[in-house]
Amino acid sequence: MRKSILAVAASGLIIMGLAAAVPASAEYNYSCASCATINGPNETVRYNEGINYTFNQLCVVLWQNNGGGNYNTVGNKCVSGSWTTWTCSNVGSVNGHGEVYNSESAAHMAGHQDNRAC
Amino acid sequence: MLTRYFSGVRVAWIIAVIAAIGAALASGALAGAGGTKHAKWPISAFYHALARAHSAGAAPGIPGMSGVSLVAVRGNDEIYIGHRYGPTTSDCFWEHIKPQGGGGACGKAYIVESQGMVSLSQSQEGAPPEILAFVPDGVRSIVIKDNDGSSHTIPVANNFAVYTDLNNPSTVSFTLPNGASEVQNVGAWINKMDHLRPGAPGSSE
Repeated sequence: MRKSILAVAASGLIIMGLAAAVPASAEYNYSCASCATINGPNETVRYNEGINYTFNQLCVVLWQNNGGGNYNTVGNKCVSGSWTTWTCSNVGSVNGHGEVYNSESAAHMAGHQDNRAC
Repeated sequence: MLTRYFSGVRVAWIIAVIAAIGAALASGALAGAGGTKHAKWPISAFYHALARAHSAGAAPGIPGMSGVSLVAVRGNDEIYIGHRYGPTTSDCFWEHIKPQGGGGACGKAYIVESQGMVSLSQSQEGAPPEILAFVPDGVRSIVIKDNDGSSHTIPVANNFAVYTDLNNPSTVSFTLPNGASEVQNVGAWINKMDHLRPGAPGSSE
């Protein structure tokens, strides 16, 4: 009896661990009314698109999460004369998040990250 | 007789003024939006797309894009232009880096057609920056200046110029058909990219 309880508990812990380790795979919209940079949540991503409602310049990044607070970029793009900009990972899906920023000042910006193929 | 003479002069003046306004409107010299007046020029590549040289498949899908044309092929990579019509009319470009990478941008049409669009991207951290310029008709080349003082003149074809810079670029410039210069300080972008640190997921500042 005790062995069964322990087995069930261990199984539960393994499932919870897997759920925590495997990031959610869903599209996500994020925005700010006035900011210089904004980030989406960590999930499975390979596409990130940003929009700047305030002026015609913005940059978008895809960050790959290597664990332990360690990240590297798998796509970083800045454009002038634009109001939407996007980048796609060329290493496929990664656990990480998108970021939208601009090089000028605080702005009304929004981002959309998901796992769609480009 | 005198009255008839002045009437003739007045009519001639009115006709001349109307003709001048009509010519300006027809040439697009006063075209603009939001009350601003910008000279703007067409982008002919929207109307004569390059033959698809390297891919028999359909153009890669970007949400909301229509009127897609292939404008450049670099090795296995392809660069497209197209339009988005919501919430405003936009001129767009995007690069398909096979098998699955790339990126692009859309600018309001009257802005792209009056001042062009310049992009700088890094597909990987530390990779050489790739510079793309999407410009209206009449822009023949772009000039990229590097931090070390060197410069590169890149010809425009199909309203596009592309260059991968192995040095550190500082500015991208080109001359519009009316003689005005557009200069983009891409060195500031590179500096920002080099020092960018990831924000906490879900945060803004």
